[in-house]
Amino acid sequence: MKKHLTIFFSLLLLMSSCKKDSASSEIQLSYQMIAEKVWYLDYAQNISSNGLTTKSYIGQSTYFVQFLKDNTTFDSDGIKGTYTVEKQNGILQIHVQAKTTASNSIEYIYNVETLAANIMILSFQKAGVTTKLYYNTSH
Amino acid sequence: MTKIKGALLFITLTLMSAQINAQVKDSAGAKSSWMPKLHIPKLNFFKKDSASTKAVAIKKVVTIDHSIQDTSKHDFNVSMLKNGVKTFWKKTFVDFTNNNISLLAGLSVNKQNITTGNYSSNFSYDLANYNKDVYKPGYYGGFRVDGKYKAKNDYSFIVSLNKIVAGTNYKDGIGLKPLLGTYSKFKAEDQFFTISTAFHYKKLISFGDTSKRKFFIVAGPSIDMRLSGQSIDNSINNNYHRFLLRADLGVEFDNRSNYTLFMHYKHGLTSFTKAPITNNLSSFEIGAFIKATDLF
Repeated sequence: MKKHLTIFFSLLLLMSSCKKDSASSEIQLSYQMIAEKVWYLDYAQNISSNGLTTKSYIGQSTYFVQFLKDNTTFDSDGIKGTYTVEKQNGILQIHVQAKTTASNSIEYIYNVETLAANIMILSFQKAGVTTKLYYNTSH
Repeated sequence: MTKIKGALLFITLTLMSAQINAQVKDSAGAKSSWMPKLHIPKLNFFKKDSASTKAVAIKKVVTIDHSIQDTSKHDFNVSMLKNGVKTFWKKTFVDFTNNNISLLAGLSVNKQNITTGNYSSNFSYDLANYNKDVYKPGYYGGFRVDGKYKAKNDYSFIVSLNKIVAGTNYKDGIGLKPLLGTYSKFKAEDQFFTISTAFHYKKLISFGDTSKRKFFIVAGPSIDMRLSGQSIDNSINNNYHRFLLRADLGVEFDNRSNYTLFMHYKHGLTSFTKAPITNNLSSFEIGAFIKATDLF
């Protein structure tokens, strides 16, 4: 009986695969994608009921932001702080809590539209206008 | 000082003899506690024809007999199992005869054709880096059984472990305007470790002297079971299936029964990935097999 149970559980172990929690995998992959890179803003799009406007920063001195492995962040405006990647209501978000150069606390949340090894598209909504920010690692 | 040494020697000898006595008793089956009673050794203890020695000798024989019996019991179980398997095999596969076991090894080149459909993910992959529309080389090894079904139809049953390295041909990339480039929401795995089983029907082609060289056309299904895990990119949505069914078609060349060279093409009948992604994995395999009896 013991022998049979051993064989059964061995087979079960062999056939089963360890499955990571998908949400944690998603967050882990997000950290891997964005960390230790300088993200330059290439385009900013405003989408409203009036239509779509796109502003290009290609070939210009532009805003950039950097996310580090130790969960700290800083940008070209001098804002420094910490960031976390989280999933709220099925939406992947980057949550930044930082301080300006004048030591004023600032907090903002971006929705992740897409992440890739060299591009990042974030969005946020304000006063009925959706703004999409297109970042690239090369500028 | 000499008296103390003498006393110590006497005590040691007494204890040793007591130990031996106890062991003899133990081996003769007499009940004894671990702490032996102090017996003065009998003078006839070391005699060859003494009763105790006989008892030890008998016990030794008995012990040896037990060990022989145990071994034969073990052999009996193994042979029982062997006979059981043989009987089961003969009863179940009564129509499968003339079986020869061979060892096989070879190289394979593999490619995945991918359509992602409306698959959605928060991640994108630049196809400039991932779209490699080429066959990439892998390797495999295993064994096969060649025989006859109902004494006239040649067949082969193959089991192999495969290291599949596959090129990726994405058929439907997406644009992320205004950014340049083509992207995919799905990142295909480019390496797999699988165990494959195949059952092929073999048709002899009448070409040249078939007593020396034989050409076969083979066809049949194969099933690959993925043993390797998925990358973090695919574990998020658990994109890959565990099993893949493929159709095989190939030619085999038997050179005077010394060895056989073969080339198989495997075409995916089912998708290796879950809907809406379709992933058709195709492979060309070249290899050789030699009868196990010729090798060992």
